[in-house]
Amino acid sequence: MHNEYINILWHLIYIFSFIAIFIPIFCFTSYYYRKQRNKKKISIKIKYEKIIFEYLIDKKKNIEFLHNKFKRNSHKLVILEIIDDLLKNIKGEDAKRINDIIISRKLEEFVIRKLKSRFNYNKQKYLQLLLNLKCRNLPTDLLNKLKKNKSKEIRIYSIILLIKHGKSSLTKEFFEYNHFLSLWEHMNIYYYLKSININSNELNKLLYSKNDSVIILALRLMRLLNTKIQSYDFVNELLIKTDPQIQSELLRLLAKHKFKDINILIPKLNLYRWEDVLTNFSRLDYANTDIMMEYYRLSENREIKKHILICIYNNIQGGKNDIVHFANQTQNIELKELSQNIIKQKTI
Amino acid sequence: MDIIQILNYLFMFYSITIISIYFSMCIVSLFVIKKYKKTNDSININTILASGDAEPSVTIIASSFNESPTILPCVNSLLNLEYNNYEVIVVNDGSTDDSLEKVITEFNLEKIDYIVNYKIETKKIRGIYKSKNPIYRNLIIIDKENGGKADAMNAGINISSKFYIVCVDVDSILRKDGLLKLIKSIISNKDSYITAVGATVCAINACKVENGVITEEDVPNKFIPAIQIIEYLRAFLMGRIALGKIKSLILVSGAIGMFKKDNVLSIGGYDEKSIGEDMELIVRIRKYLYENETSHNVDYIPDPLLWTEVPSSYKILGRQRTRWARGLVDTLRLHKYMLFNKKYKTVGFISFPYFVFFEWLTAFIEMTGLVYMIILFVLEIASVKSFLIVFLALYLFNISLSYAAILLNEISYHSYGKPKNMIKLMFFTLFEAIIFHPITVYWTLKGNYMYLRGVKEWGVMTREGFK
Repeated sequence: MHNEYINILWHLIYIFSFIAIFIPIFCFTSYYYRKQRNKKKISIKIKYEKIIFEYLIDKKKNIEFLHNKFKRNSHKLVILEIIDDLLKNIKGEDAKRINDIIISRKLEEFVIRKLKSRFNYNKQKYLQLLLNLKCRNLPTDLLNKLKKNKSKEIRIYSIILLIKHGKSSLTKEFFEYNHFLSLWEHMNIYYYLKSININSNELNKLLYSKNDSVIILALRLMRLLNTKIQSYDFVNELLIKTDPQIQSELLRLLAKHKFKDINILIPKLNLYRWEDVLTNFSRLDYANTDIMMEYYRLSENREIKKHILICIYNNIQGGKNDIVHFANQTQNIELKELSQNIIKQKTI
Repeated sequence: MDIIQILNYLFMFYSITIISIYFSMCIVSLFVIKKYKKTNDSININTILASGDAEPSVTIIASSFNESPTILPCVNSLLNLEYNNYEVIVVNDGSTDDSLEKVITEFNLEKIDYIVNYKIETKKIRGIYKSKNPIYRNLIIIDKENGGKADAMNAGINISSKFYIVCVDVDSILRKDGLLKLIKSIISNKDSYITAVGATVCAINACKVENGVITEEDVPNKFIPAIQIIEYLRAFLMGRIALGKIKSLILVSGAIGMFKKDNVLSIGGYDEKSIGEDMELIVRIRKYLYENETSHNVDYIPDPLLWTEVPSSYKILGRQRTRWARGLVDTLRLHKYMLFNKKYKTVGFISFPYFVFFEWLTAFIEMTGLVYMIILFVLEIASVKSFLIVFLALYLFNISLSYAAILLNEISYHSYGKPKNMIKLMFFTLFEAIIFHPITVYWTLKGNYMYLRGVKEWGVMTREGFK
């Protein structure tokens, strides 16, 4: 074999040998430090949980009690995580006492300092913590800067914080919003803002945004927060929009407000497979053969018609008898034929 | 230049290319995993559960053929997932064991009067079962004539009324937050952009399972299942993550994959004639979307969401691997027009060349290389020393790559996180190149030969069940 190949192979052997020796060392070192880190974190957490609970349960204990117990500043993140968990479930007097901890331990300042971190994952983590804290001095300038960040989580958390603390509004933030708002972002907005009082005018204004994902957000929030549409004339304008998500959310909102012509609008829906929409609809308690037959009459597609009859048979109470009735009648030939085919198809 | 020198150059070029590709994949995966973990670890994924029924609906379809030892823990795990809007469809694909009876008794099922709207043609459905117990109202069991995994999945798709489907195997346990993690990937993007999502699959063989939940993760002491863990780590934590990053993924594991149902129905569901139905489905979906000029991607998440039983004997593993080899060549042959076709973008220029030159052809080149070395040795052109140097370089390359996969696992989700498991994996790796790898090359070549002869059956896959 040529010497130059042998040389290359020797070089490769050296490199691979180094990797094969180095990686196991790295693996075990990483394991060791991970275990140590977790162990330490758990012990600190247990210690602080005990102290915080002692403080919360015994109302006579004042904040000075904690000053003597919280020795190290480096444990602020652990304390914050405990507080974050508690604040999700605790309200009233106890929540106030927890806020005293935040003030006295300068946890808010700590979080705000961390928001200036170089790394996005740190910003995201501390923004999430800040979302649950009752912030006294919201870093408005910093949040305004962060809402232009390239990470969608950072953008949305910053905006939510500003809105939640009354420093901004939904219309101001989203009416001319340039980015696409994903369903994940919608969920976060709803999750963190559902407790605050959102003005119905604001949501109605957002319907006129040029960004379709913002319109979807507005429709979704209107449905979830039980807000009425102010102008029904606008409904038709929205239905012209080709975005199937808009149509879908609009119809769900209209259904919630018992809009009388909803049945005519439903076949316009093209976000999901029409068959699936019908199947799910037919499973609802209030669905009956008459409502399903209204869709049957509205549809011109034979496959859809067949599916509607199958839905009646499978899911509607008394539907089986109805299909047998349709199969025996003589007025509507197509309905008779489809029903007879369905009964023949019944192999189970 | 003589012929030997040319051949030497060719082998060297191929080896260096493949080494570079694998190491590049390793580095890309390292960054992707780190970023994914840092971004997702602090995220409150439960937001999805409290989103006021905004989460997309999902049907989990699990096909079962003679899976009696694993069916109950699997169905239990599927019924206890953290998700609001989902149904579970278990398709009994003409099992000859007692798996159907077991499920009927355990979940108090009764046969219901039901008409199936056959959107995709499948083998005859013998019965549909639902539970009398309202706790299990989201469970549907389909009993049908045997038609293979693709046919069973299609039957499930026909019954499904949800908008996304998740295909899983019945010899597996899906992690409780599995659906949340999969759906997070879909809802974080523009609607319909993510057409399929895959996740990391781990071997469950030596793990302890209680009520459908894994309580202890362990590496088996046996060589065959243990060595497959290393293979899985390499495949999932390196290959798929890297291909996913460059939008070139055409394969998510058949054991777990989430798909947009509309896309699956648009292409007529799984192809029951295909041997590698999982890969073929994704290739066809991507082809359909490219041809309709629809922007899309197949996403891959590094979380170990599904734990599955891997074959524990050479016989069963051999059947599985020859089938995989047939599946690969079948899919590549069926869609050969995609290779270097600019219409199919990254799939045509990255995925297909990668799968053709570095997945399918590798076994042939390895075998040719070995024969070539022996000829050189017999003709006294190459010495024992050079033969050993080549072998040592390849052996160390294999070890480095496997250790890198173990490292990726340790720094990401540290499945099998105990040191004794790491030691076991590293120890078994030492024998992979000399014992296991030559056998897998043989199985791959055998699979290709079987494909040429038109062998299409799956072969019997017996299960041991969970601990």
